Amino acid sequence: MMRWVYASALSVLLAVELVGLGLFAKGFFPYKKSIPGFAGREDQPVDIGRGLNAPATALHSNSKVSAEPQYDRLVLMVVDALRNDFVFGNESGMAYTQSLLRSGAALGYTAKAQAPTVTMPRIKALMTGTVPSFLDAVLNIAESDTSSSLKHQDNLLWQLKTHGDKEINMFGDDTWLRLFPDMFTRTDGTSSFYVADTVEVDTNVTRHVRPELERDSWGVVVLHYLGLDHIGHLAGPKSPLMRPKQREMDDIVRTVHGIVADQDRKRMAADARAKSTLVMLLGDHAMNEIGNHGGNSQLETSTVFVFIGSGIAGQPMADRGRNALSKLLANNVQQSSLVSTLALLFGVPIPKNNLGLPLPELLGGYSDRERLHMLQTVAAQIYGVVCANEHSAVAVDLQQIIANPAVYAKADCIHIDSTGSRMQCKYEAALATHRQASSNADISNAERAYYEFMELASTHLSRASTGYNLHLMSMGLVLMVATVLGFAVLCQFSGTPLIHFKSRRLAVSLPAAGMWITYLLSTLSSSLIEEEHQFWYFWVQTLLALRLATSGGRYHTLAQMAAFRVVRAWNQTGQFWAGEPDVRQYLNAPENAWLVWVLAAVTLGAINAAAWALHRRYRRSVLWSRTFRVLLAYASVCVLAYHSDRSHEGLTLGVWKVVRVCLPSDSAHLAQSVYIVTALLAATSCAGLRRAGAYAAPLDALTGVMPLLLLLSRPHNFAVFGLFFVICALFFPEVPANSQSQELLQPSRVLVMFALAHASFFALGNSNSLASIDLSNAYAGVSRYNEALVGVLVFIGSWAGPLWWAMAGLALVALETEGVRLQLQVRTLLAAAHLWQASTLLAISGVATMMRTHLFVWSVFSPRYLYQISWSVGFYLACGTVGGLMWVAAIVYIAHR
Amino acid sequence: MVSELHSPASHTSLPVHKQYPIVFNGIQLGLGGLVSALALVSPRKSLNLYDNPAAYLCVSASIILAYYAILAFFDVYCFKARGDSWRPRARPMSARISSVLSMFGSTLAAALVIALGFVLFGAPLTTHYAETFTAALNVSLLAVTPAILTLKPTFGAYRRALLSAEQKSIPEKWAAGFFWCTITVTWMSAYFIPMDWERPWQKWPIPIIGGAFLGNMVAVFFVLVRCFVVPIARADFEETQSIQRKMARDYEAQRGPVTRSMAKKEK
Repeated sequence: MMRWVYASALSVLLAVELVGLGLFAKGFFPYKKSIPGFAGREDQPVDIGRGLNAPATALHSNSKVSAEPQYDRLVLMVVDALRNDFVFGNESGMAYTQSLLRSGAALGYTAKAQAPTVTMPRIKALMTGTVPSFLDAVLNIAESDTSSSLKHQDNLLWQLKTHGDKEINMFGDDTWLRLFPDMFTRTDGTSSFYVADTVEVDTNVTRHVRPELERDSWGVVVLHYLGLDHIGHLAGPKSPLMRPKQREMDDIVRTVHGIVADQDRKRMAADARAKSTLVMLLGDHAMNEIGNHGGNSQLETSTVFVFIGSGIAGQPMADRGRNALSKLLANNVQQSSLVSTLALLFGVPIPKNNLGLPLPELLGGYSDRERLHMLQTVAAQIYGVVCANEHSAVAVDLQQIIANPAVYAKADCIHIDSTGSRMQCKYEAALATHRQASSNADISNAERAYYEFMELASTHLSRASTGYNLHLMSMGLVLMVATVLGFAVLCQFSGTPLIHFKSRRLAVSLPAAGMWITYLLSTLSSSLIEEEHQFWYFWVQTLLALRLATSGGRYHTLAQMAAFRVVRAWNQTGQFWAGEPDVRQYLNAPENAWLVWVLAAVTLGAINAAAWALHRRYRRSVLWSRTFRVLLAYASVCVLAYHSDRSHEGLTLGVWKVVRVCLPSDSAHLAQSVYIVTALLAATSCAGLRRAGAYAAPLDALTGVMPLLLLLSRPHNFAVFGLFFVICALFFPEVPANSQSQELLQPSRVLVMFALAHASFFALGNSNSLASIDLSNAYAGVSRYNEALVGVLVFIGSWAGPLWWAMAGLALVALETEGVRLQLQVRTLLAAAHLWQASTLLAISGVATMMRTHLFVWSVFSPRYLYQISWSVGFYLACGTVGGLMWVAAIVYIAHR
Repeated sequence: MVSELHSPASHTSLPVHKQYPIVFNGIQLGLGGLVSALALVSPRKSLNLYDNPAAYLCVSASIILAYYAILAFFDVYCFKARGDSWRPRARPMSARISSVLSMFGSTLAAALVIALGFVLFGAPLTTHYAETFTAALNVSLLAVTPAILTLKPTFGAYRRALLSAEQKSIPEKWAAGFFWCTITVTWMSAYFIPMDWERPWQKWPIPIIGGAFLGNMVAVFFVLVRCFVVPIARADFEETQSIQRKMARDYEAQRGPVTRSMAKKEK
């Protein structure tokens, strides 16, 4: 096939694939539909429970008796990633909060957050009472996005400002400022993306607490603390910094509570109608055992609500023992219940899209009649959401229910098939019971009926939340099928064909085909998506074992298997075994910090030694070779210094201090010098080549790119890269198959490297959950927030392993084949890689379409889909195709110069 | 090729399928399946695979081991008996005991290699030693011991029979069939471990054991077809053909060559 035919076919196919992907994604990840507009006072329903004697016409009049608000002012103290055991657990540092909970002056709950457990969707959920769409998780990372703001969506803050007539101030995470433009009167935002900073982000909030609370005019103050989350990201929940941070948060609770209690006393003395202040401590999400969040695991979703206020009628805990609070760890409520509860307590209309149920314990201060009316209000609002989503539910005729409540109350709702009608039936039954309760004073029955209806509606609506655009999705799927077929044809006609038609036999490597089919099948299983690393680890060993078997026992391969077994034990990932003991945990224990640095230094030393050895073997001009090695050594030391500076247990050796003085003192400059040196390394590597050595040039990349990759990785993972080096070196020299008939059974080295590329992604601690995106090194050398740059750095950091193995594969191919054959080989490999990538994308799109009503769609399949987009577009298209082709072109050009 | 193994080289005049005691081997094949099924039946209720895998696997391993020990002691394993004779060879007691012991030793060595393989493929490295080893012992008994009893105890013979793609004799096919079927199904069964069904049988090493026993049963059918049904059918077919050819020759000798045109005319 001609070169230009191949190139144009490849680009057309990739373009078609991108269009298909775009169409599918547009249909699959919609912005959520919500009822437009804002709730007003007139939306509050007429109290159906008012005396039987009330004339029917009075229902239409405007004579509503709504309950007095319980509170005047609200302090919302959000602590990012506050897990429930940080407050209720025995290890907690929050003694003051615990004492309030024990004495009954505060009420505590474990609030369950829904996936995706990242800040922006959680704030949205907390303030609107809805289940935000999955896309918010992605936009959470794109800091400058404003399209997802809540300016046009009904929310609690708007209600408090408009109907509660409150001045709202906000200090802390600037996500709030983006979500609620023009909402706050006084603000001071903090960017949440400098993860390395655990102190400044919080002092920046705390310095406002006293002066701002002591002013008189405020009605609502939102404080959002980020430090705890940052500690989690950096060092996990067991970090030594965690307890001091909890104590710091506890002190702030004490300060706030003291100030508002003082003020309340004064205010209430001055004005009889004044109400007290409600202080709330809550988390937006929690964190897992590693300190990350985003997924759906038990730990990540268990955060807290603590209500502190004068009207809180909590029971003092009889048991004063250490474990008295542990029962709160299981006292689960939904996070979305905040909106309706607070709206009722502050006497403002309930935001239109709310799906949360009010917390019954907090409504204890109202009379029975008032409480029932409140439940009716919330039920009516939720029923509005039901009507907007379910066509079979229609507006309820109150007159009918008032006329004969007994009929409605006894209706048998369970056997109605249509969900909409069933919910309507439940709602009518609840209203009728309420109506009856006014005569027979059977309050609990009516309350139960309301909660039954609201629970049914809320669970149903939060599950079936999104409307997929099936039309767009199927168009995308058709285009993807076309691409897969196209790549198969391209594979067949470029270089070595897949199928020999003439000899009527398959020439496909059997292990490759087996792996391909097994992988496509494994996408059907949600657990094999969560535990994808298991698939790759298993197949890498299988391929190596096959090589061992077909070459009649080579110790090289056995050593590779052993090395890979160690790699596998380094980072436990996935969902099920994520908390199992692994090497990472061992290395991150404070007493083993020295070992991290020993391993890091050994790895860097080995990489430099490898560069020396390779330069000795494949000779090139002396000057450039020396420059290369010196630059590499300098970059290695910079990387070590960068990580040592950022660590709390950095290097303290005397010798190191001397070295450190010679390097840039600022860590951003260290990182920048690594970037510059990497570029210089590439230039030197090319400049020093003699013609004969051109095909050995890619080997330089294997050592030259290492400082960059290590800079963006965590220090405990350095040794994994060292092991990768060892495994790669053991691939040489090639072992031929025992016999010709076994050639098809023997996996080629490129195939094993391909599997290793995928396996290395997981071996470095990544997984198919959004929780494992590692932002700790995303800002290496970036002094101002720059979305594109940070995105690229996150990508390189996460895909460091796959990128390195892809380079190793190309280096291998370039070393073993020359000239025209190299081009043919690269074409075949590229087509095969895209066949893999496109078929995986198709499989996952198909599975996502099939499973779109499945419970796991947002927690398992959608994150996997996002990762697949990164693999397809970022790794295979941008790095593999564009980068790889340019690289090969450069090699060929230099060789023929 | 055949003479390398414990196969009767002297009976070359017989058709291939007559060289092996078919009835005898068939019985043994069935018996072997029965024993491996019996090994799965627990003697006590408390001793089950879920609660106490290591002890249970010890019991099942010893049952199979005892079965093979009897075969090795009386020297009656498949392809060892000559012709259709059921009588075992007369051998001194010391040779019998040493053959049993060498079977034990080789099985244990194979179990160690398989346990190493388990660990390389991801079995726990620092815990579950007893489970891993007993599981490996069971897999070794099901997959490797048939080869140990059949093949010559040299590295070359094992490599030829188990790892090469060369033309194989029937005993080699027998050994390779047991080995590859059992290992492949065991390999496949590992896919059940990461599934989130939260069943008690997903605990290490239960899926592996299930796979090994299932693989062994597959192997029984596979070698039955490959080592007996197919060779016998082929031999029968060839015999029939040779008889036909002979008849045709006889007929020709009587009537002279028959051509197609002549045959038509006769009609």
